[in-house]
Amino acid sequence: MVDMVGGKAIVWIDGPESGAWNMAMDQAMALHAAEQDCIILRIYQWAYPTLSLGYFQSHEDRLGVPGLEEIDCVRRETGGGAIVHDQEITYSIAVPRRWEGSMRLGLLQDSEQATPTATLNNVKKSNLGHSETLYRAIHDRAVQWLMGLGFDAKTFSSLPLSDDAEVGLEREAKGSELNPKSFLCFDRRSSVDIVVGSVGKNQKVLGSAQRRTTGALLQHGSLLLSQSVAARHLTGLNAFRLKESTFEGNQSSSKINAKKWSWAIDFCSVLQDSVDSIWSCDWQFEEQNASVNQLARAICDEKFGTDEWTFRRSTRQNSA
Amino acid sequence: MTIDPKALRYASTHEWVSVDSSGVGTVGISAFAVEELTDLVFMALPKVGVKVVAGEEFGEVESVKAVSPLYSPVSGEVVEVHASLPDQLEILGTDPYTQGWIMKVKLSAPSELDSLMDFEAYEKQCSGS
Repeated sequence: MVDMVGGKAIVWIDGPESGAWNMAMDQAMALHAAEQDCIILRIYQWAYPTLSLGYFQSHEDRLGVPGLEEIDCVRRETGGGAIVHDQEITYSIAVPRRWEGSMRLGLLQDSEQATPTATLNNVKKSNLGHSETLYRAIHDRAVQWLMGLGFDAKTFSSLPLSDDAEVGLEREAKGSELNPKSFLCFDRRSSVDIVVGSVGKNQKVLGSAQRRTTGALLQHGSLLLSQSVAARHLTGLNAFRLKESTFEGNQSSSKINAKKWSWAIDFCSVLQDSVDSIWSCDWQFEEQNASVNQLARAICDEKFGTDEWTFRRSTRQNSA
Repeated sequence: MTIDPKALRYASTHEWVSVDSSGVGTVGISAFAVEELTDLVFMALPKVGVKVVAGEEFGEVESVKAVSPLYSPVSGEVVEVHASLPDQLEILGTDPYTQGWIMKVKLSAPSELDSLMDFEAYEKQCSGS
C-alpha cells in the first residue's frame, strides 16, 4: 500500500468572465498553486460565446468557418483543438510538481475503464509531457457519473471498433485517435475523451488538455452540454436527451443558466472525487484573494488580452 | 557527422548538448524524453540571435494535447536552429542525437558544462536509481 500524499486543496467557482480574463486567471492559478503548494480546482463560465484556440493552433483556421469567425477568440496555454465555450462547463486544475511526483501508480489498475494492456502502456517513467494519470482519473470518474445519470458514456478507447469500413479503417490507421487534426476539439477523438452513443454515431462530451510549467501542471477541460449557435453539429449531451438534462432552445436563458449552474456544481463534486482518488485532500471553497486577482489582471493585460498573443500563430508558424 | 549519445552532456530536464572546438553547442532532447513525451505534434523553436539561459525555457513541444517547455542546458546566443524539424518531428523518434538536433548556441559560460551529467549519470537518472 502506497501512502497517499496530500494537503490543502482549493475550489474556486467563478461567474461569467471574458476569455482573456479566464485564461489569465488559470495562469495565475497555476502560479498560486505552485507557490502555496496546494491543488486548485476551478469551475468557470464565459460572459459570451468564445472560441479558445489550442496553444499551437493557427487563428486563421477559424476564418471562413460559419459561426466561428464571428465570436470572440482567445488563445489557451494548453494544447489540443479549439473549443466553443457556450453551452458547456469549463474546468481547470493546477497540480504542483511535488504532488504530481507522488501520483499513485495503482490508480490505473483501479479503473474500470482501463484494460491491463492500456494500464501497462500508460504508466510513465517521468513527469515529461502529458499526465495520463490525471487525464484518466478525471475522465474515468466522469464516465461513472454520466452512466449513473443514464447516459451511454465511455472513453473513446473503450468504444468497440466500427463495422463501418471508413470509420474502422481510420481508427486502425490512427490507433486510438480519430480526426486528430480537426480544428475543433469536439470533432477529434483521443483515447481518454468521453463519448456518448454508439460507434459512428457518438458525440464527444468531455475533452481535456494540459500545460506543463516549471512549478505546476495545468489541465483544462470542457463538458459539452448542448449545441452552440457557433457549432450546431456538436450536440454534446443534449443529443441523448434525458428529462433532467435537456437544454432545449425554447427555454428562457435564465432557466438554461440555472440548469448549467446545477450541472456545474455536480460536475465539481465529480472532479473533487477524481482528485481524491490520487491524493488525500483537505478541500476548502474559497474566493481568489486580492493578490491573485492582481496577478490575473496583469497577465490579462500583458498577454491574453492582446492581439499579439491571440493572433501570434498563423499557418505553419513555429517560433517560440 | 554522427553524434554519439555516450559523449554528450545532459541536463536533468532531458536536453543534451555537444560542444565543438569553436565553442558552439548543439542542443537536442534525449531518446528517453522523446519516448516519454509520446507522439510529438508541434514544436516551437527559438529565433536565431536570441539569448538563452541555462535552465530556462527556449522552446515548447506539444504531445497528447499537452504543451511542455524545453529548457536550455547552456547559456549563450542562438546561432542556428533546425528550422525544418517542426515539420518532420518523426526524426526525433528515429535519430534524436544527429538528425534531430534543435538549436546551436554560442556558449557564453562554458563552465556550465561541468554541472551537466555525463551519459552514465543521465542513464541512472532515467532508470530512477
